[in-house]
Amino acid sequence: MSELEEVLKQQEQETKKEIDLYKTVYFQKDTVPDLHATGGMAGGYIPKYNSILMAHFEDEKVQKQISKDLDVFLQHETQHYLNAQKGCGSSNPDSNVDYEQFYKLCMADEISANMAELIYLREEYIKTKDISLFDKRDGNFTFYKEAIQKGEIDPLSSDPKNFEKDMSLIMNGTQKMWMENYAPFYASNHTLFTCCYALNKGQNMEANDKEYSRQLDLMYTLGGINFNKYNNQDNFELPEVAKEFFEKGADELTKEELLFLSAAKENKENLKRSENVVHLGWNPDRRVSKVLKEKVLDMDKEIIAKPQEKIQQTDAASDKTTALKRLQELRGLSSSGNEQNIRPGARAINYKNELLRKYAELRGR
Amino acid sequence: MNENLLIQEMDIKEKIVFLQSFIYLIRTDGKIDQAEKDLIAELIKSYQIASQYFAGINRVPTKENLLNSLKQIVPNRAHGLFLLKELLTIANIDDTLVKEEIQFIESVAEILNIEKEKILQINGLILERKVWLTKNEIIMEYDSAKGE
Repeated sequence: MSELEEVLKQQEQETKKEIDLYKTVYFQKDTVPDLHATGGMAGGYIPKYNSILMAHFEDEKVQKQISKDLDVFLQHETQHYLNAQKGCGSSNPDSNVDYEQFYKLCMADEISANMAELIYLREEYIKTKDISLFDKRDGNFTFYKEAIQKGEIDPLSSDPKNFEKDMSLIMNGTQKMWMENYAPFYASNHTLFTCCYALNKGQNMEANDKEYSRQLDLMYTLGGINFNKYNNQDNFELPEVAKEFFEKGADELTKEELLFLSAAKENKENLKRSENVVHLGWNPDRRVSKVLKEKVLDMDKEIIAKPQEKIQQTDAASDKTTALKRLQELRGLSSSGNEQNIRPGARAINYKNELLRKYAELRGR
Repeated sequence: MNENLLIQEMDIKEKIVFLQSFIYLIRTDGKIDQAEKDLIAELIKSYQIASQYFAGINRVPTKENLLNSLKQIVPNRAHGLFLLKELLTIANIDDTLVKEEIQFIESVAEILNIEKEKILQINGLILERKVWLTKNEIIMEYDSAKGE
């Protein structure tokens, strides 16, 4: 391979990588009156249907708030989907772990989805430098914004030490935030999932640290980084309500808890039919929209630039600015850019074949 | 510089040798399908060639003769750079640069005294546009599957 061929191939690979960072996510919308109808959820990954369902609220105020963060919610739900595909977390009734570990894997599934949100916002911040992005999702990621403002971390930095701190904060900060804000809220769902798991297994399960760690590694590997390496687990304890539930004998269960078990049994029946756990609450069969789609970052790809890559990207960025100016100049465009000339024009033109369309787009004249 | 103006200032000999270079590049894999034929027709159209020259364009000379013609006919560096950009654009359409395409482009650059570094820069421009097109599709919510 000649030197030129080698460099051209390298350029090609880098471009493919950049184009390839997104994945299309398909979802449906279910019209519901308000947050009460969904148990406070804006959306959910429904394992039974292997699909994502987003709520469309009739309460306009709520809907406005949710719509604002739809991109972040979809990133979250997509992560549940990715985790389920790998046989991890709450959607995996075949895990061979004990009940407490299963419950913790349900929590880790949520933490992983929240980390996907933060990584997405971090990438947007790197592009836009807009720190207010971290105010999305009701300020869940204020801890990260404040760390940037205090100079404790800098996602734009190419310093390896900073990078380590940054990655550690994404893992441990998100875990801490989730444990404080969401663990009690999710306790009922996760208890139910664990009951389903227990009923499905029909026996006492022994702790399986190897399988437990394997699932954590998979769920916490996002954007090309295994965040489990940074996980200090300080805040990762069962919430009190779950501990109490696990410690009780059958005769000590409250009416509400018995209802849980009853619901779990019902879900076990569903399990037989669908071989999957079914979320309670929403009925995905009800008034769902046509299938919609959006693009989200594919967290299975190497999205997070490591320090060395970042130095190269900074150099490339200045080249890119020059290149863009040159491109506009070569194409005879004004500095504001004549979008009529350069946007894909296929809305107006029917190209004879795909090759012609690609040529016309790439040529851009 | 508007590239369409650049095409307009070419004489017929130069247009023909440009187009023969494009056809040579498209044929480097040894075959030519209908989509590629359509592409060649589109290229000929964009270079505003009278139909009397079509048969001549399709009689693509050997690589050596083609390179010699380019050396004699391409009048200046600006036209040479433009030729390279056109060749790299065509080579990048199918998302993969093959060895033979690169070798031909390298030979064209060499005969026109254009540095390898320039090939990389021009290729970078085209790849930059590919990324731009993808981002445009996402931000503008176009659906390429529907031809948008």
